[in-house]
Amino acid sequence: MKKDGRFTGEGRKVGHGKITDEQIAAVKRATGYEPDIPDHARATSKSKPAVQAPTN
Amino acid sequence: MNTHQFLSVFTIVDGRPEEIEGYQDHQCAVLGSPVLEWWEHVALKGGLSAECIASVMEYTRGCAFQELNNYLRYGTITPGGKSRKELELFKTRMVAAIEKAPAIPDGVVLWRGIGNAVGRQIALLDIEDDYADEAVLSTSISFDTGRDYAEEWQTLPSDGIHYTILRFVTSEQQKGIYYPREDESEIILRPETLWRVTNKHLVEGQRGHTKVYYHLITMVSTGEYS
Repeated sequence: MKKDGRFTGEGRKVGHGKITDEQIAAVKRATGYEPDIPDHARATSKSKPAVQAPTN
Repeated sequence: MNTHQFLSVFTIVDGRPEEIEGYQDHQCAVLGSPVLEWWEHVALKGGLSAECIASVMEYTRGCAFQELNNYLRYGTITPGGKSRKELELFKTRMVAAIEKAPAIPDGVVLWRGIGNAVGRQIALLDIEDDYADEAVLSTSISFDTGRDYAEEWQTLPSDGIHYTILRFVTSEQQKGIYYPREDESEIILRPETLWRVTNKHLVEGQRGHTKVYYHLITMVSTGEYS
């Protein structure tokens, strides 16, 4: 039944992944504050904005 | 438990004084429409089989939810209870009912208190970690209800009492059945729903001479299943 055969009760860690801007926005809207998410955990880096494609 | 004592501690940390109750009212208003939508348009007007509707009703009453979730988490069959085949059918019908539910609006907060068997392990989850539960997931838009289901755990007696409470934030068209029976304001989510940790807060309180700690783990919907 379980992929790794471990049963830990009410839920378990099943992996990890980046947090998207949409998810950050949802948390901010729900809680009223910007979540303190480190840059490496963000799908879009705060310090390195996505490079825009040339328009011509 | 002195509710107001802990609410006041909680609100200090979040920087949202007085908003807990008001925010819950707001969430009820937001969710009012989906509830009616599910029961009137999905459940009652033929979008869902009578068996699926009966399963939802059964899940929300008595001990059927424990029987199902013990099976889904541990493979346990309750003596004198449902057979494995019946439990698999129960799960299938619950999933079908949840899949037919309208999406919960993004940014709704759902609370869930964690039992003492895994409270410490879940409190150790970190930002970026994904979390899932094999069971049908009962949550509440009421912080009080979520907290009341949390069971205390300890590391050392001198370290005080700890509780782990999950704060799910809906996103990605998360589906769930809003079932506001009695005062639980329950929202039922699909087994194996995948959540991603975005925040952790340790909230400190005091009960008599004992320190009390709430580990609030904020997670957001990924729109996926494990």
